[in-house]
Amino acid sequence: MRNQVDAVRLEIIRSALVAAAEEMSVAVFRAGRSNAIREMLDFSTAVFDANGQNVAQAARIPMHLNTMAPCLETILARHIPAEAWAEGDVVVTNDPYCGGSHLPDVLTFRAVFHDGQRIGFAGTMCHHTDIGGGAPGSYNAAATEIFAEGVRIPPLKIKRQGVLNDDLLAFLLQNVREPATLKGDLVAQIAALDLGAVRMIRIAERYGRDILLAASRQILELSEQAVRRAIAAVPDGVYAFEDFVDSDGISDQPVRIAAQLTITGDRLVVDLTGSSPQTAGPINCTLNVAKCAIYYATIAGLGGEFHANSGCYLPIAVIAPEGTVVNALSPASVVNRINVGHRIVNVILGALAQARPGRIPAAYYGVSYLYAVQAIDPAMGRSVYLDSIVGGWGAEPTRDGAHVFSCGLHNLASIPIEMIESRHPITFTRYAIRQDSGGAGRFRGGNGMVREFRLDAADGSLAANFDRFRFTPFGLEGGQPGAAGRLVLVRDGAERDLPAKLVGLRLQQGDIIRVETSGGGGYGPAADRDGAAVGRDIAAGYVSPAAATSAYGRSEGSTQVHGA
Amino acid sequence: MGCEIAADVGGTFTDFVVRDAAGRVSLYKSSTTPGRIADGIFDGLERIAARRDVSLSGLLAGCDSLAIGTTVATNAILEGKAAKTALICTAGFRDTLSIREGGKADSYNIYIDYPEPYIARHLTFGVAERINAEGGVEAPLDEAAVRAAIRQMKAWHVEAVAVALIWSIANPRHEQRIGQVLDEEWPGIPYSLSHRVSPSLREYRRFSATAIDASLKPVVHQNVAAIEGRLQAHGFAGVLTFVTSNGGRTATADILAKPVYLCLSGPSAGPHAGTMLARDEGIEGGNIVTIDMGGTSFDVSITTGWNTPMHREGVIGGHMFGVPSVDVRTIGAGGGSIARVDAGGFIHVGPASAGAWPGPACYGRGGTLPTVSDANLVLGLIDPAGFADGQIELSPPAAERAVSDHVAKPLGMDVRQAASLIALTVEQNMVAAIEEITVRRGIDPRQYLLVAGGSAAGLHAAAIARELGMKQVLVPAVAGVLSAYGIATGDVRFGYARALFTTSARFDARGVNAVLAELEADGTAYLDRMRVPPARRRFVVTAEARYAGQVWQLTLPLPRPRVVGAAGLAAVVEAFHVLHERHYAVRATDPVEFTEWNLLAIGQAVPMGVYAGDEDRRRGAPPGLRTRPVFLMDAGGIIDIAVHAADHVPAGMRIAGPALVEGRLTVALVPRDASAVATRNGGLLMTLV
Repeated sequence: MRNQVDAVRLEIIRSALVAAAEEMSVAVFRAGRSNAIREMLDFSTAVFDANGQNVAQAARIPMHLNTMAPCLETILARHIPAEAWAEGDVVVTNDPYCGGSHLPDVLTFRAVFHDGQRIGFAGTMCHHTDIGGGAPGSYNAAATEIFAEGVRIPPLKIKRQGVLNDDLLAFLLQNVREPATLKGDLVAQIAALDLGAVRMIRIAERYGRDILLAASRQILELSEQAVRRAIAAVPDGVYAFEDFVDSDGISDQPVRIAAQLTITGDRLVVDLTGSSPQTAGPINCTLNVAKCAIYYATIAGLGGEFHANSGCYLPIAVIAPEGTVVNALSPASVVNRINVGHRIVNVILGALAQARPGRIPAAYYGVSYLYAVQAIDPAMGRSVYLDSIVGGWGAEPTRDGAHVFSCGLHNLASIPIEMIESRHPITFTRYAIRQDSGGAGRFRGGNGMVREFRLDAADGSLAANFDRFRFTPFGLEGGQPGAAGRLVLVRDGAERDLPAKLVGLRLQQGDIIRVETSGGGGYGPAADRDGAAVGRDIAAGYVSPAAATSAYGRSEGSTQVHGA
Repeated sequence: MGCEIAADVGGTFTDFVVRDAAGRVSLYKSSTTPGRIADGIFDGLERIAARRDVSLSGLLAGCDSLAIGTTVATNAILEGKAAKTALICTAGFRDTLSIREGGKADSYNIYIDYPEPYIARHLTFGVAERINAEGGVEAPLDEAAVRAAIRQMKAWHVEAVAVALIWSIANPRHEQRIGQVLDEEWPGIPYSLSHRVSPSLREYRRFSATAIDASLKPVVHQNVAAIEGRLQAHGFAGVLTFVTSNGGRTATADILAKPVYLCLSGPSAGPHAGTMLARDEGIEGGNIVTIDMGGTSFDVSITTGWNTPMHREGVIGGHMFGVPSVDVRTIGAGGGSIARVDAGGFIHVGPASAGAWPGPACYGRGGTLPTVSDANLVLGLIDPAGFADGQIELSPPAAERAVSDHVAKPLGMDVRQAASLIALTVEQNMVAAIEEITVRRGIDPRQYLLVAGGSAAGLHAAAIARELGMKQVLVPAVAGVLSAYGIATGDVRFGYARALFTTSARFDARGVNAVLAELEADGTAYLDRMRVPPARRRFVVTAEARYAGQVWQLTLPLPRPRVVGAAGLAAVVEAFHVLHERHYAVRATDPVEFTEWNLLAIGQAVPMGVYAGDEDRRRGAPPGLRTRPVFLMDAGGIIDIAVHAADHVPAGMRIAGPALVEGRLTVALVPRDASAVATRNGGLLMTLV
């Protein structure tokens, strides 16, 4: 039992560490340059203890946050030992095989010292618009090796004792498509580390270094205990689930993701044995990335009140055989690793739905609809419009799923179309909720979205890294699956369906691209749905009369429909 | 010269500040009548009249001005009581209010509370038309579709219409035309056009501001008309003004035209009050953190060098209202905030609140959950008989039971320790809220004075200040009615904006100066209308600026009202570099982009006399030195501490901690290791050691 003074001081120090992470987050957000950072908020910040354990995170993107701790651990263990970090040194890497995630995600870390003693690390991770390689936006769906995915930065010191390594920066900028954007974002993420460091030093000054170190240890222990209690509250047993990724985009083979959860007391073993061998196409996860999807899904699915940090990971043991899509070995291509990452989340939540019946929603859309349009225009030059959009949330056991809602795993904000149009030769023709895409059920899955735009530049190309075109988001307890995604090219009035994964598709002026994202699965039999709810959906236009007839045997709205 | 009255209509209490013809200032607090705000205000006014031995008509006929802060707009949005509103938008973009800007604060939560769009989807009408980013017409407006939509709206008994089109800020022609069609087809229907409500980039924010604005028109019209009608009936011939989201006051005409500016009316006056009170006490530098702790919420704002920042990201009930507002951060932490212990053994206080009903357990109205007020009562810090001007008698046993059952027992500690822990936790939440607007923006609170508003804020202020390393705390005599005081002493102010994009690389000096001249003309006309004498006029001219490639702007005060020549431009660019470096620790060499130009027209208020304490009380005999047993964690247990009567403490008197200072509407704790001095204006200035 903790005594009272400890509980209070601990909470104060914990809040202060979270505030340090949040402060860095605001600095990156405000000073960053790209739409990816400024509008999609595709970055994360965190604070680590002296051993590199993550003690506090800014509330951003678990897909990043749960990667940062293993990455720093890998750097310290295999590349730059803790003793080799001097005051003011900043280490940068983006290499998935040195602890990173995929090449566009650049991580920077700075050791923090107080009176010459290391008291922790500050870290930032940003998704950069382009890191070079075989496709604009660096999402090269045709890459079969990491060498085709962009410039690889092993853990290197980009700052030594506060002095920027201009040579390294120049080398990086030479290898990317939007050097000014990369430079602006990278400078912002490095500058933010200083703000985090100042804040950590202040905590050490205020409470004493030893208290800070002890508190950090205790914070991790408390989080570990909280997760253990949540696991213990779930009945012991073995819960298995599987689902599929459409394909790796190179071959046509479905890619299997299998999970078996074994709960024994307060321990959880997640065994992904049975998942497909690593693929030629770039959907592979390194073990670190697979783990971060696992940690996200289990922590979210256990539904407790956790302060997310490294302590949460300890009660969760992971088995993932080498050479599979969930533990890919070099030089597997990985840029679209979040495709498998989302599926890991889907299957773990599917398994937890058996362990915690009535507590877990049906499957959400299950993919980052990530695309990049390169526009080449004599007037505007070359620009890369990179976007990642979401679909519908799964129906919950007691209510409908939300339309167009980001899964916490990637927690993406949506870029305003006026922001896109002000920077790229692109005009949107539609940005709306996609009718009839949520799975039918007692509770309906949320609808996905439609994003449709026209290329106004003379010349361009499209890259897409989609999924859920074949294997749709599953329903639970008899609910229907959500609708499959679609990618459509409209040229001269004719519509053509495009594959989910493609790169380098030439576009011409006036081409219209339409992205239709998958909806969430339904929960419970459609026959049990409340008639008034069906009527409301028809009136709002979320469900068409035709679809309502086939799913629910009813086609009348409760208010007249207009302008759908 | 007659009297001046300011009223702040809150959820539980309506606060009044009255300055009479002789310059004397009095404070009043009365229970808010739920329902129409006119009733609450007039109930309070009658009470004031009675206490001053005049009739209501006598009070109002001799009144020069009535200034009102009201949560009517905020509450209409929160409670879904605004008008049935339809939205006309660009075809293809019907779901802008649903999809919003995505993202979520709590990424690990798989259960999603997602507010419905502000305007129901079946009331959202897409019409064919399109303006592009350059302001060109991509597709003409389909007027027939507009007319068809209007027919449908009539059939559905719509009460107000919002019109928001993509890129209307680059070319408002289509929105203006829809306005004309509405005038033709449906004379008298209230409507709002987005380029007028909020001429800013990012469609969701503009659409949302416009939807909120239109939806508030009927309710604001009704309430304003009711107030005006009753004022006239009682012979009021003075000036009626309302406090807006920017913290200033403006005429009813402006509020009726843009009711969205009533969002946050009330709390928005707090920062000004804090600043003003500090200035009156002779504080130098103007670096102030103002807090206002109410029953359910805690408002905090920061003022640097006498300047309180504004922003445009204000949110009410999950909906952005988009217009410039004083940057007041609100969290769910107040006297009614509920404490609980989670499964992990961590204590949480708020944001859930016991509200006005049933209220804290100690109100004895059936509440059983422990609140901050209960904790303070258990600790002995609140006088059970004297709470809120004696309007509610508090029950210590009920408070003790609640704290014991829900906090002390689960954590295995003594009830008083548990009460201390509740106080410490809510204080920590308040500290975090202050840190969010200080340290997270690179501002060191140790250089700031803390001004504590709210009846019980003085109990927590010193602890908050200590946690933040702040050295001084001011608990003003008017702390119990802080926002009302801010309203009473507030400036007249209204903002005007123009969107014009240019960059320092190819600066459009002619266009910019033309826009600046237009803004100045708008501002001058406004201050003429408000009858502000020239000596009290002030313009604040700012640009929204960023480095090329950045998408979020900083608000850059312009050094001069026009940008003249290369030197003028260079000065503006350098000011931006300095601003950016101060905020984000880095400056760049890129060109600076300007997206929008703003002018705030200010008519400075005539300074108000000082509130020097409650005259009735002062006339009474001093109660003598009292003591009360209070549990103080840092003292290790219960000790008897001195209790001073605020109205009898002479200016300049020093009070050594620990001690309590009780007024009619406030209570403050001077902790150990601190001392306080009674200020010349009846406040308490604490210094922490």
